[in-house]
Amino acid sequence: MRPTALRLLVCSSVVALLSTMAQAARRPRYGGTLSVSMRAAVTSIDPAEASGDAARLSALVYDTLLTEDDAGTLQPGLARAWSSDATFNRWQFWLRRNVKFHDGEPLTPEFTASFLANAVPGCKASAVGDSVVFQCASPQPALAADLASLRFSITHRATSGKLEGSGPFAIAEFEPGKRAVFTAIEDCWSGRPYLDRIEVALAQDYRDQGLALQLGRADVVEGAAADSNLALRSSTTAPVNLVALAFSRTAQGAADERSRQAISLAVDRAAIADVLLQGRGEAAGGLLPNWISGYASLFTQPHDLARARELRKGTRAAPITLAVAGNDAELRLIAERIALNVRDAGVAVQLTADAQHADVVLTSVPVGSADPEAALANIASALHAPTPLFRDDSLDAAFRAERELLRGHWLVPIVHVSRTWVLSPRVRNWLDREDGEWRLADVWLDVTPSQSPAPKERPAETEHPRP
Amino acid sequence: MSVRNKLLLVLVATVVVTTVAVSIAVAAVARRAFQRQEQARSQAIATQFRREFDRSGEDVVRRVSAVAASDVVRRIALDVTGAHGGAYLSEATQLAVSHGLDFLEIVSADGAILSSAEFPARFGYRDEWAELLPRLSTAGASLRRQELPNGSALGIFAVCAAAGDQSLYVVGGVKLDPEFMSRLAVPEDTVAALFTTPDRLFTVDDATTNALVISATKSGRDTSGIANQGNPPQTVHAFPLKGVANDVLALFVVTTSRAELIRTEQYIRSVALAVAGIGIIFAIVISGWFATRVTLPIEQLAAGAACVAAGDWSARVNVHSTDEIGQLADDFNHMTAELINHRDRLVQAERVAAWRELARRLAHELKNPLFPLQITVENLVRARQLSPAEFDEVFRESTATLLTELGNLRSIIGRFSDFSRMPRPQLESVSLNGLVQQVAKSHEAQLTAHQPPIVLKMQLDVTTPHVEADPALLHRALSNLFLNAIDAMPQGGTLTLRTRGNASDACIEIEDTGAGMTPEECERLFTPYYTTKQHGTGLGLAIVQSVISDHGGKITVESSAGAGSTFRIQLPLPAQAFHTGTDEVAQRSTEKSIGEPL
Repeated sequence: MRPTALRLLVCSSVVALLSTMAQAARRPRYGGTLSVSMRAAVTSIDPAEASGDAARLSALVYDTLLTEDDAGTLQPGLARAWSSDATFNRWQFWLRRNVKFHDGEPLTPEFTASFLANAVPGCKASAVGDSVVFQCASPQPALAADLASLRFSITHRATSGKLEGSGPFAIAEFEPGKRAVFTAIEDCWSGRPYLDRIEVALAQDYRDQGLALQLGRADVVEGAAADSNLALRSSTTAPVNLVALAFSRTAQGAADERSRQAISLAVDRAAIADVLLQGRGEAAGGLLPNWISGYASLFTQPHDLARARELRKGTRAAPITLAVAGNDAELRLIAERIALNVRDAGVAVQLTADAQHADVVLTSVPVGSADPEAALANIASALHAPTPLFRDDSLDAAFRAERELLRGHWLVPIVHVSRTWVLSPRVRNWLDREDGEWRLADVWLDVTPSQSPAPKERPAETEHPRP
Repeated sequence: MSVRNKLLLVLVATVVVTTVAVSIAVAAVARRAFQRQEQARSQAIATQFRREFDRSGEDVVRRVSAVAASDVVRRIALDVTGAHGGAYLSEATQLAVSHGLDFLEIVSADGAILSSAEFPARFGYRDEWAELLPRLSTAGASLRRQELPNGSALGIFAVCAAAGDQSLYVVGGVKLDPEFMSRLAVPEDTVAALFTTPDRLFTVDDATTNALVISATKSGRDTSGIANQGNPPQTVHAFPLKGVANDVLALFVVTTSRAELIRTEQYIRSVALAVAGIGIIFAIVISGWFATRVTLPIEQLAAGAACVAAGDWSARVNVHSTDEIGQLADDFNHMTAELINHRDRLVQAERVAAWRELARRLAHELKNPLFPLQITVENLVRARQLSPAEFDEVFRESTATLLTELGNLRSIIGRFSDFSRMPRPQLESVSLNGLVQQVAKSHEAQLTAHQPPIVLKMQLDVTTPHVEADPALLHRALSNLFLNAIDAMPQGGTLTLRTRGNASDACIEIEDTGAGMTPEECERLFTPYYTTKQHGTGLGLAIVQSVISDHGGKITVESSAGAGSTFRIQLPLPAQAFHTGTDEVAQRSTEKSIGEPL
């Protein structure tokens, strides 16, 4: 063999080997523990009361009949198909077969019907064959979207008292406000997740999260902790949290509407979004972010100190007490800025730790859904505002409902905040969703293959007709 | 109070007052010394505070300069674009941590805060030193009150221009916190504290301290005072701490316990009390000795004088000193000797005078009956030449006249004999009221027969006590006065008999409404053989005085011409004789006139 041919043979062999190795690196791997660090001090994973980051953790364990994709489109969940009559009075959901809770109990149509029997006011649920039928006294056009909400997760109380779900992970350990550990379910109806285990460190500030990421103790941390010196991949959501002032409807200090309006006008939202949130926020005049409603510009709130001072004239001079919901340093910073802005308008603001008795509370509320109606309902519920009424499921109805919620300046939107997750290089197949929801069942780690059991076949794509 | 006691009292009082005065003076001097010492100590602590402040200030200047020279600040100075400077939000925090500063602000040339470590939300706002930044960047450290999200804090601040130019400033500082204060070496009973001004956060329970702090804040000068509400009370020194605008931002307050002073004062008080006690005892002893030495001759003189006053003119004072007291004693002895000589001469003279008076009286009294006797005898001699019948007639008349005049002579001689032989009183308990009533009764006929009439009034106090007296002699004396009163009222009038008693004596008064007497007559009234009557012997009132004197009593007369006379006899009472009160006396006194049963 001539030397030239030999060289070509060697080179082609090396190229082939590298190509094979590259293919191997892109191939999903089972096993490994994903370490997540977050600021939220989650105290409950019960889907009935979870929101925000608690809902993210809850979604790992509990399933709903339907799910939403990041465009707000309903997708099959525990129900493989669904339909309704033309008047939206009767809905029928066909359930998957052979779905079991984590304690082995089968999820049957009868159990599901009895579980949801009183979940939807005005509707009666019953099992019909392998489906659950809702018969409603009045039209319920949003019933399917509602059932995609996490609070309608199908759960089962085991004899041990533990709340069992049917999701890809089960709760292995949970220390409220400190730590949560989830383990993979081998025989999950949606297939075994790639990860063996997820460890979530709760109530970690940005600094600790950044440190954990740099030291390799965390794989996923929140955005503000990103170190620009590291070549890290990040995933930023659309604005999925609303930071708003919610005035107490019973506190004397919040009774004057002109003061509330003056406060709304005095807040420099752009500075908060650009500086305090480092560009992760958008100034908010409305409750819904524009990516959900499309009409957010109609609620733009100007920063008008002169007008605020004018409104303030003749109103009560006693200081208004402002509290921050929860123990969130970022919210606290925003509250301090708001206090400074409002003081410029001649309104004395006193920061207090007693949110229960404060005149106004600064709260961060997850939008919770890409659907305007569901999102507004979530926000109103979280801010203790009256439940919005929708004439129909049109965008105009959502607009009117939102305008009604903002009437009287009892709710003063400040900013919509995006979530950014910074990922360590070994995190693979992280799906960036606009609504910020996690799909950790699809994530795998670039680690040396472990002694993980052979995965089951992932189920074939199921039909998911739109009603 | 005796001279000795007075002298003793004066000496003791002098010692006590002197001791107390010295104690007060010593306590005042001690207090002033303590205050000076305490003031010096507070000043030393304040000086230490200022030194520590300066040292920390230099450290702050060094750290802030290091921040200003750091790459991060240089980069910001190069690419700062807007007031918000959103990219620098956390820079100040990181720089503050890395350079050990509690406060750090990165401020643009126009005074806008680009990044703040202590108050991140304050970005874009103007720093309170915005106008002063160029000047302060070369002025070293200053005191400043820094606004924080939840209030404010006091700190030592310095300003430094970034990278040498004036497009960016770094304002940094450290807190004036308890750790800073802990670096001060403060004595055990002293507390050094830092307070903000009263219109902000400073309030204390003690009103005095509060007022002091307010005063120091307003005046801007060091102020001192005493807070009495604490236990123990404390001395408070407030030193104003000023900012760059010369405004009082805080007070450095040094509080010193006054326990040591109080202990010292108590010690001085105790020592003073002990010294005073010992001094008083010593003073009593020495004063007693001295007073005795000084007053003994005086007391001897007083005793001698008392003896002389009591009639013992032979009293002598035995004082053997050469001072004024000795001279006085000699003069006293000489005086008593002279008195005795004078008395003897006087007695002799009076005796001679008495004999002369007696002779004169005797001559006068005897001359009156002798003259008729002589005439009668001469008539009898001449009658021998008459007829027997006529002689018998003359003889019968002459013998009658002779008998009468001889009777008069016997009477005169009897009275003189009575005066010379006054008996000693035989004392017994006598009711004066009863005695007075007896006297009145025995002379009732004379009163009734008197023309023009004399009205008798009896004002007898039934509580008049009994006296120890000879009833016969007293009756005789009262009768004499009674008859004198009748004789004094030839034109009639009122005769009042009055008795009364008090704690020490009983009194009888005989009052007439006659012509009365002149003072000269009153003065000589009781002299023997002196009389205002045409046929009196002048012995009646002398006998009355003798009787009363023998009873230990006293007789006086009050009279004036035309206003009648009142004779008052006072007789001493035996012990506990007077036993009723004045009101009872008034109620039980009686008044009787003639015609009423006596």
